[in-house]
Amino acid sequence: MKAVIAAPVFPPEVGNVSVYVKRFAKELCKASFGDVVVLAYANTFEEIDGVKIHCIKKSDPLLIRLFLYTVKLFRLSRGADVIYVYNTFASGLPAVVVGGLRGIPVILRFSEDEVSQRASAPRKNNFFTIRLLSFLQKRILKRARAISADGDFLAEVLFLSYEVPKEKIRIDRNPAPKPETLPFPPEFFPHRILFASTAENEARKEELEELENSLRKKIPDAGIFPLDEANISRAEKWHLLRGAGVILFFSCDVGYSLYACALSSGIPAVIFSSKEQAEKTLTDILENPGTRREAIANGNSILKEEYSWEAYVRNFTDFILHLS
Amino acid sequence: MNIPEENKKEWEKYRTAEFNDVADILLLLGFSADTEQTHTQGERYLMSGRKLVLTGHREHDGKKVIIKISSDPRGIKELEHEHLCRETIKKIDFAYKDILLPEEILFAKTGKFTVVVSAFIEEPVPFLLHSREEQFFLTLRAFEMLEGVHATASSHTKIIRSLWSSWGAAEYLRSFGEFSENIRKAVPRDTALHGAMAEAQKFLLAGSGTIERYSGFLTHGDFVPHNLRIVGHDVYLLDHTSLLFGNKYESAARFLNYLCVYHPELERWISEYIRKNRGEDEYLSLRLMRAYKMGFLLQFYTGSLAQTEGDLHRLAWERISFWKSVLSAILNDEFVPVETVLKYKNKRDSLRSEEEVRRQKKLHQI
Repeated sequence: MKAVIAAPVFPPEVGNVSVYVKRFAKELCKASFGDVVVLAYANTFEEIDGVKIHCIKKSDPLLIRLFLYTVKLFRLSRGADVIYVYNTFASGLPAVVVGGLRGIPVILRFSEDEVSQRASAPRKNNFFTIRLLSFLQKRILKRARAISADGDFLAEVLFLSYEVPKEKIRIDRNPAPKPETLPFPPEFFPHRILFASTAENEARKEELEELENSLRKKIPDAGIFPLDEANISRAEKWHLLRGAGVILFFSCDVGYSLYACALSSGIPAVIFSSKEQAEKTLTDILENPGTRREAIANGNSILKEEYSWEAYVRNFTDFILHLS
Repeated sequence: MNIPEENKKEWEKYRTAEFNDVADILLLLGFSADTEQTHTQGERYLMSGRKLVLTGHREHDGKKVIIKISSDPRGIKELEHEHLCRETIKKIDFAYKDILLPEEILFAKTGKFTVVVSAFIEEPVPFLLHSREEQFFLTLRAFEMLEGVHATASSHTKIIRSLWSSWGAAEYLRSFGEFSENIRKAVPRDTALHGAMAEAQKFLLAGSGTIERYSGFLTHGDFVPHNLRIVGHDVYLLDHTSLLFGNKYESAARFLNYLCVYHPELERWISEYIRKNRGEDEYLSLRLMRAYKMGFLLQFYTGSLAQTEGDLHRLAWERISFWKSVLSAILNDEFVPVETVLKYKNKRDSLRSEEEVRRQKKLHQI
């Protein structure tokens, strides 16, 4: 089989998309998928054994690089079974054009909503630009054969904002990133509960205080600490995760990337829908070593089935076979 | 009077004259300088730019400030550059994380003087007084803040080009060639040093692909603890004239070169972290940049030989010898032995003037 991965960025460029594109190509190659070709906008790139990487210089003006990208993608996709594109206008538009011309199915990876991000960016694009981008986004999504969304929230966005039929949407969560190795061991606090949230929420704060007070009646040194991912380094995140007794998520605002990290840190990571449910389970995990072991084993199995590269690549390969 | 003494006297004369002249101007602008100014003493006269960096406060509310002032064309240029850096950083819309710089309170030109007043960032605990683990995480936080600004697209270049050129392999190699040339002129008979520089040049040339690959990142050429201010989770960067677009590891290289004298354990931790988590190519980029920065240091100290005498002159030779051994260690992918560092530090401390010891203590906030 042959897959062309059309990406907007590639390492050494920083950011999640860049890291995932490289890892996906590497894992496909490792799983003996067949020919793996990557096309990205980049001035230089990090090499991967067994993967052919092609770049369109980012330093060229936008329209020129868009044109060059489309032409290059057309050439590279000859004989391909699929074009897997990381959604942005710069890669999505050429991918659906080339897919249409060549008759190759395009699977679009939707890991962020670019239009709403641009609309809410500090230096806002004007109203007409956003309207135009929104229109283009709908066309791109319409022409893709399938959309792979990173989570339920984005699946909802696709359905509600871009009118993508539900049967066209698949949910494939980003696999857990590689855990970092630190030069010193974490200090382990068995009764520390790390609370991971995607947003600051005053109401939740009160709820957590109540939860902490109730827990302290049974476990005096139990404490809930917020994990503010935005303000710490990657290394510190891994250090904090590994030093906690439990990592707590509430179902209404789970950051799945952090959840995946929590699962791979070997610490019980649990999602709750209510304070009452949390109180009972947390007490159990903190007090009872058997429950703790069970929670870790459960986490490992979720990690393997939903957040591993093996599962991600297997689902991808099965889907390609299903398409053909 | 010989040249070194003349240079020092000249700086002292400049410092006194400038300080007397600026007092009234500062008052008119609503600020005043503190009576004791450690930063303008000791070996400061060997450093770049004729400008005074003073601590002071705002008259109406007593807010602590940093005042930079100059009437010298080179010093003025540096201050203007710093002002523009600050303005441009604000415009960068492709950063993954906010770049934190102390707020500029005033930029003014009055008479022959250019004045920049910025907020003094009070830090509850200075970097070096944090635990080793905290220092490790704070450092990585600052690195990630800088690495999040990667100028790759034409729209990025448009924002930065008026102020910064982006350094790639060619620029680093050319600059290193100039270091070698200057060293050759300053110490024509030190063949061992010339040999070490030639070896380093070969190393840089062989790794030019890696240097180029990790270029285009915002970096701080003088990334050392006294140019950082830690407030809670925030890491502020000082000395904006040292900001530039270049190799991702230039800041880390400068920092690790500093750490090998002041904190060898942290030097090892950070090197090991980069190697294990970011891969061999990025680790090589770090070593290449460390070698490059050593070239700069060796050029600086060989250049200072002509401006120094007595103990300071002997100290310059000690420094050249020490950094040469660190350079060799980097080229061999080793760490310089702790005994070598201790021996150097003892010698250095015995040769430093009391004034310089005070300046260093203030600088490192210890």
